[in-house]
Amino acid sequence: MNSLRPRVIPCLQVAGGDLLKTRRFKDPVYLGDPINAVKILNDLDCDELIVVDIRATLEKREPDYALIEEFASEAFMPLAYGGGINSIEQVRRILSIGIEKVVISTAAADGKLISAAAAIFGSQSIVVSVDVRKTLLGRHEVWTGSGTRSTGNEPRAYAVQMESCGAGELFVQSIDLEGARTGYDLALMREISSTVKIPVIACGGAGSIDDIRQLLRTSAVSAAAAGTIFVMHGKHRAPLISYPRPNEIASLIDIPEGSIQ
Amino acid sequence: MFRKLRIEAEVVSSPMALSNAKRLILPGIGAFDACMHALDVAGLRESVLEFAATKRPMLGICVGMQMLTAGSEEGTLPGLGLIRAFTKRFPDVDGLRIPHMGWNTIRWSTPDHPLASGLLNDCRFYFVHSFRVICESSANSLAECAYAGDFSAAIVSGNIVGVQFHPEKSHRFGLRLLSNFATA
Repeated sequence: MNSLRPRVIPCLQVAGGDLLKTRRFKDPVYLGDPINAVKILNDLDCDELIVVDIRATLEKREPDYALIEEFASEAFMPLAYGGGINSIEQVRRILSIGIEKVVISTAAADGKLISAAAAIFGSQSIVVSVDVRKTLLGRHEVWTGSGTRSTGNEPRAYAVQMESCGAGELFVQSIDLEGARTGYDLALMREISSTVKIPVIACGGAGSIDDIRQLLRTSAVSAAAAGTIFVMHGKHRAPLISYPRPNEIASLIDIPEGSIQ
Repeated sequence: MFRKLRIEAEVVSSPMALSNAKRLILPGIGAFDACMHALDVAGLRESVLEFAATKRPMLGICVGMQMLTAGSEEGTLPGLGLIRAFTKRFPDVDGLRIPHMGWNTIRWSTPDHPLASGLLNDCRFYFVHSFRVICESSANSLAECAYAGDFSAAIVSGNIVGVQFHPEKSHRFGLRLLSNFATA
């Protein structure tokens, strides 16, 4: 049936034309030129890529179309873009540039944009970002506005709501673990991926390829996304773009013989 | 990708520019009728057919491949009819997601075709589609992919080829395929 190859997705954070990396959605560190990062990921045979403009929503500005166009022409792999998207016209413009999918977070909350966009462009091009923070009592809550406002929503209920609106995929991020390199929030990822039928992309916390292996083997998520481990190296967080080799990716899940090349 | 391959490529939208081309790529994204309509409005249907008749190499990609067939269940406009095939929707099968989206492997039925050069083993491509091409004769099916049964991932008729997947999004494998097309 469908290819069983695990999906491993670098998530690049950009703003103002720079490649950045935050921790817990804060303290961005400058890492260089994002287009150069894409060129390196091309050479590493990266299978899929997510690019997020981490300031567009906060600065209430339009997506950086010039930069998105450069991404589209330089990326030799399927690409999802998120950041600052709040209208059908923006979705249309970004998809027409040659981006495969848009990621919508803040503007997804009431479901209207997601329903409308899915009806026009098809669910396969609409990804909803579900940004989750843990409360002091250990409860998971959906946050919005690039991690600045709580919605009070419980993640599973919100995931189901987004699925029923027509989201094609969910990009679930643990804000608390973003950049922490201590492993994914497995409980959260298991909960959401076992609740919805649409693919779940997990992000936040990966510190090693073993964290990705553990996530893919112990939850129903469809894809593992990560930032830090693909853009930084070592405890001093030196800029370094990397991507697992094909045999490493194949070893991430137990593969039935003959089903994958 | 052509820049990376150091192959000269140009986007054309007029019959005149087309007549000067050595090779032609027919890309297609969106609904079948929208693509055919866009071709008709630009006055390019006849030019593409004339180009095909000159035996110069031509490659259809995704909906561009489906446009080479007689028509599609997705629309009502006639296709180019360059390859004896028709485009149909994937059947509804339990547990099978439509669109077929993601990386998948293919099997070449004519492994010695120039397009397949260097792509026989361990090759995979990126697909996004809800409709697939059914050839009248298996001789026109250049490669198969398994999803809800086998379908044609690539089709051929003389100088004309089509691929359902997106070589431009299939990194190393896509580069090789486009290079094969441009140099064969």
